[in-house]
Amino acid sequence: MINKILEGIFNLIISLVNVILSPIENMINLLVPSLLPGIGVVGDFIDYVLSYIPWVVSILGLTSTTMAIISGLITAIVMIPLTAHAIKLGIKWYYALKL
Amino acid sequence: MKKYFLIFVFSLLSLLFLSPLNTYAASVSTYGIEYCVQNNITTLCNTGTNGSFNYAYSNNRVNHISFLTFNTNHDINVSAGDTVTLSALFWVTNDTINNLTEVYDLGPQLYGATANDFDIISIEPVDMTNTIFWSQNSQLDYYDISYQHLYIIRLQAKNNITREYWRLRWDIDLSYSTTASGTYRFRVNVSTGSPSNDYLILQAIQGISNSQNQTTDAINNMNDNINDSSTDGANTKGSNFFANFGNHDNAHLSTILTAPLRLFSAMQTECTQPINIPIGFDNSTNGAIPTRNISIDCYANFWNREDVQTFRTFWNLLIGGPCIYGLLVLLMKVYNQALDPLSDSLYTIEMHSSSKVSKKEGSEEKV
Repeated sequence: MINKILEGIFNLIISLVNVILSPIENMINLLVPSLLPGIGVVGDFIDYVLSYIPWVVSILGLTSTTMAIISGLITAIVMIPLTAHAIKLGIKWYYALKL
Repeated sequence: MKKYFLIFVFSLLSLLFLSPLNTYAASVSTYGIEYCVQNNITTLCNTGTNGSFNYAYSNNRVNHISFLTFNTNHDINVSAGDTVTLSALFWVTNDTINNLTEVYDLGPQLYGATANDFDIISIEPVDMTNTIFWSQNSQLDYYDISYQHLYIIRLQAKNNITREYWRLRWDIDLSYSTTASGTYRFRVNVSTGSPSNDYLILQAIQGISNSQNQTTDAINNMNDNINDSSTDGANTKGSNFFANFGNHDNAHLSTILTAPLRLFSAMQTECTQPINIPIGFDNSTNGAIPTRNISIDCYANFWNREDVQTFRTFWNLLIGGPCIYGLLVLLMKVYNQALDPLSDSLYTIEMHSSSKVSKKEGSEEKV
């Protein structure tokens, strides 16, 4: 039952995201149809730039050990607040349900 | 007094009708065709009085009858929905049989039939071992019954049967010792008829039972779902929410929103192919084909040279050291921020500037 409730919450979130974003996308398509390819060009440009990142990193000559340390630190910086926030959120939900 | 005596006599007569002997007498009132097989030699059993088979043995020897079988030339005409009733009796009679050592009774069966052809309505074995029912002066003129066994089997032919004739068979393996001539009798009575009311009632009850079982299973499934504390499916659903987040979804906005994360992912990707920079364009193809490409190999070939390793170590300390130091400082700052119980701030990667939105006591403020 808990599984179904949580799955339902995720389905609700996904549906809400689609419901909120779909009108925006439709509005862009209807009112400024030329904007959509423009945004697409920006995205393609980002993809094109990102394709050069491994080559740029190879120029820097950083070893895999150095890159692993840097990647691990960045991951920890992002994940520690997220984990702490999730725990606080869970405690807040617990007290809300307890009341 | 006379009245009570008559009641007592009638009570005794009623008990007589309820006894197994009465059942036996009704079941074998008409004899079937009897065949016996002794040591693989088929003999027509119908050699004695009332179709019984008499077989004489010498004194003080162990005798063995192998597979006394009733299985030949007795076919039953069965139509769909008919009932088949088998009532069969095997017994040994002798006043001096002193040891019945072994009996394997496989029971009567319709030879060649399967569960797809018949439903078994009932099997009513009646074990009458070592039970003496008749005295020497009884109507059948038998005495000292050493072994006898009665089966009544009722079958219901299914509607999808493809055969109309079925062969009866009953196998019994018997070992015994005797001091005098013995008499062995084997009789089978077969009758067919329309579906009985008992069978129809049984089918109806079975249908109700099946429905009840289905309802019980549904209730049990619901209880299992309610009591199930597993969240595996929700975890998969939550993971798929991000895993299925396409770069070009939502009017290509996802490409821009996920750019920082993809930058982080690209930084960890090893360079394996040289980059190609197009230079100049051919006007005849409207710029679709460049006139030439500049190909630049990955610098891994340079950095992996042995004479560069010392410099690479020093270079990593020079470049990586400040980067790691800065990240460690930021990590401690974020860690201390996360430990603050009153803080709901969430550190995110921003593309243009590092800003955090904190919410304390219901108010929002930019830090």
